[in-house]
Amino acid sequence: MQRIVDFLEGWVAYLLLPALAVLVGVDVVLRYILNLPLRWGNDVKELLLLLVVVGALPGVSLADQHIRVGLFDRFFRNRAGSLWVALRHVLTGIAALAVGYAVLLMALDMHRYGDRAEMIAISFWPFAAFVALAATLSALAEFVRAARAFAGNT
Amino acid sequence: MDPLTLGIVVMVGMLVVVMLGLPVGYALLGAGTIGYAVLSGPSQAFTQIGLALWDNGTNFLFIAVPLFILMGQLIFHAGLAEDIFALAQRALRRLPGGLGVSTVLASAGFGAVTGSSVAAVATMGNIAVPQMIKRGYSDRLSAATVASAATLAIIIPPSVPLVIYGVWSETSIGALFIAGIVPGVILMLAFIATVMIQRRQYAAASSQLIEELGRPLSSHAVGLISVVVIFVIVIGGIYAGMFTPTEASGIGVLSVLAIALASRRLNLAMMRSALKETIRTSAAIFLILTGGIILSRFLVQTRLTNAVVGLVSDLDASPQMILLALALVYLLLGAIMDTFGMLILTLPLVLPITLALGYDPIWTGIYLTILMEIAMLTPPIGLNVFVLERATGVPAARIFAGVWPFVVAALAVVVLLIYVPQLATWLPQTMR
Amino acid sequence: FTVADWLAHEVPAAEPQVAYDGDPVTLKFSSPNPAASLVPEVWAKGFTWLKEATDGKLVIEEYHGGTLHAAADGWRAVRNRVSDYAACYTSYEGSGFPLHKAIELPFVTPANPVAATRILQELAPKYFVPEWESRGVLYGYTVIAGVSDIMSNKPIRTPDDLRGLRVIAQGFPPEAAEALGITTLNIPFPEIYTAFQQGIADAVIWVDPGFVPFKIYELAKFHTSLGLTAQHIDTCINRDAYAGLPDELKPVFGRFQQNIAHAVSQRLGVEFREQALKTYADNGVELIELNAEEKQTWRTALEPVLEAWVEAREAEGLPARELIDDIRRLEAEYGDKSAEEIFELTVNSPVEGLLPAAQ
Ligand code: NA
Ligand code: NA
Repeated sequence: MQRIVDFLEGWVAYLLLPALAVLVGVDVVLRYILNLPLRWGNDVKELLLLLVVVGALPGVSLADQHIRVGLFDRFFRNRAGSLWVALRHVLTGIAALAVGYAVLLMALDMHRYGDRAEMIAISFWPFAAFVALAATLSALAEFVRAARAFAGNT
Repeated sequence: MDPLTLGIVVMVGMLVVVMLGLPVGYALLGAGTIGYAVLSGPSQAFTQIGLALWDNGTNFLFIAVPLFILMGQLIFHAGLAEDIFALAQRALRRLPGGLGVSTVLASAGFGAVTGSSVAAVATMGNIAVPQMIKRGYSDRLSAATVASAATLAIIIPPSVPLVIYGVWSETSIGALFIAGIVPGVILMLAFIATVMIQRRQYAAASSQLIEELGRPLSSHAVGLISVVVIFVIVIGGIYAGMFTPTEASGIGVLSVLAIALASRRLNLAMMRSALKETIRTSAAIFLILTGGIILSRFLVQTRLTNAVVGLVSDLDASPQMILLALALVYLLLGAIMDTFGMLILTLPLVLPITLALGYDPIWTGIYLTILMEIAMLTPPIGLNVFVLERATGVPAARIFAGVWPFVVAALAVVVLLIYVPQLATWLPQTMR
Repeated sequence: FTVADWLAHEVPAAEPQVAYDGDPVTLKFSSPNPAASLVPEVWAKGFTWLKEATDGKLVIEEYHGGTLHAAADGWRAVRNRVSDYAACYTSYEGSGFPLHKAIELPFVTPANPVAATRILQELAPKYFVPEWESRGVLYGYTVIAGVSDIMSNKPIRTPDDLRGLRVIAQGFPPEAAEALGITTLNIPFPEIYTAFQQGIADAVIWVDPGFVPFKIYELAKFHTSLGLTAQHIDTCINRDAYAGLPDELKPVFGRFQQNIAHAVSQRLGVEFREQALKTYADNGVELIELNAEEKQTWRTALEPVLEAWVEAREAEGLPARELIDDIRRLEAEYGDKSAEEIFELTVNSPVEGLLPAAQ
């Protein structure tokens, strides 16, 4: 699981995020120096943004780094507590799985109707499929953590 | 179950699972989806997840969020922040809580470059909180100072919420920006006072000063110069009309990178962790924004907010009392809702009320913006606190415990604004 | 008779005889426009008329301000029934509306917005309805809200005045920008004011419903009436939602589309236009009206763009030339008619074939 997450995050963090920063910066420079803004610039930036913000979802799940309110965490240090932790990860995993399913449906819908970007011929559906994949991996990571919490205390 | 009851049940359920420690983003998303499925059917609920995710994830205005986070990460990893805070503490060393004060000032300065509170808190969180803790401030006060001071970014121009308010209320965006200046400065001073009076939270700070003074001033020069250069490029570029705030985030990242590489402060390992940390933080924030949107899209169909605002507008009281009551409603709504969702749902109901009470729409924009700032700080759903926990590792519960004095300070500014509306309206009127 | 008469149920020809006596039907209508703004106010009046005219049998529940879905998601939201009926903009779509895009080309859409709106509905069955249906939804209507003008800090009379400037132009064809020698900036709505204020852009090409709420007139010194490209509001209807309407209500709902389209176009393109020009003048903006000779310089500069577009579509086997000819032919017929005359035409002889007929 860790290797899959690292692979995915590597591409997003070391390629797509820098690409987004460079594209935003270069667009300004091109406009000033060459008076030539990129016609497709905004479309590509928006799609890169999508990949950047969902690409780390599995990693966040596997490292248990989601934003949570840990007010009662200290009550969950005993055996019953770790069962609750396992349940918490299962519930989160189910929510992530629902997201994966929902976005998969959207990817199919986008594919069927040929939805694409405004100024450049990029189809939307592969991007939606990527989001569905990220959400599903995130669900798997939650289940892995649930199993660990469960196994750690039985 | 009628829609109103369903709305209440879903909100309560959402709060319970958030308190129990489920991830906030998934809790908002799950509650919104279940409510939506009960109200309109499961297939609509699933479609709505897809739409909200897509529309949020490809929103051009959010490009600034990961890029400003990355900018903060690079400044942090290159150790440039370290220099600035060492210098700031020296400069303000005779002032009680001097480093906390300089954090508020630095956040206000960053707020003049960005229009997004999330971007401000993510950047300042990485820079300021570790420095404050290292120099003897309690983690509670350190994180609460940054979480609160970062909200100045949406009242000090430029401001994304003020732009959205201006468009929805058909109010001059330029006038709104100018109107934000005076209340923004008052709020900043209120936050500074709030830091200074909490002596026990920074009692340990003075004892560490000697060691800092041992190092020569020049050793911090790189940090000072580079931060000033970056600030001039970003803020100067925006005000000189070179680029928009969104574009400034990209330029900011490239400038930090150039300076850090030129001064040999950044190696490959640091860059890797800055990049990785940025996408992790962005993903966590994105999930909350998306969950908040799904929940508001469900709530709008239950007419829950209409019912709550209706209670207030029917009160038989003075305009000031009605506005105070409305502020309380926003305090409650803001506790449990995402701020943009809150604005979307309430503006059509609230604007006619404040107009009828004789308050200028420009004033209403500033009033709502400060209430939105408070909403970002209050538990259980306080976006700035969550972002900061993510950025610094200080537990949300401790930050929430620390923000109360700042929330009180901000509420005092709201009361002041209600009784002295000229604080917001005077400057734009004189500039007309 | 006028739109006001229609809304007051004083136009007998527009009043339906509803035989349906089953349960009331409710449809969700959604738009990205703020609830308390220009277009939703007209929509709300129309939906009230619809409810009253059907004795409460057909009720439209309104969701404005993007509370159900984002502006660009109208098509996806309606075909998956997150909404039953919504503002779905063809402008956001990169494909699927090759012929409908004609109205965004320079000087294609007639400058009289109510006439242009009528013309588009008349041509819709032949050209646009199939484009809607291939996106999985039914055609509602297209409203021409106005044709775009220029606001700037220096006077613009001919393409030469504009050449070399940085221009904020929403949905402006890139080929037209090239022909005019301008750099177009695609800046999101909330950033337009600041971008123009800070001088990132030298001019803004937009319509009154954009210039006014976004307060561009506070910053600009000149306004040139040009009528370059159309700003339009498109709507679409969910197939199942329509099919689920009682047969007696289908024709009522269908004819309502054309009347409300006219009402929105008249409010925005005629009444609001008049107020907007006054607002500009009151704020010290100099209003520039072009003479025939100056207008011709713009047409000459942009004619090749239209010609290239027509040829490209014809090469794809699409009847683009016929569409342009049809628009020009109908413009000659309706272009000089008043809003009232057009409305009477719409009520007395509604366009057929926009929605599937009731069985
Ligand atoms: Na700001
Ligand atoms: Na809150």
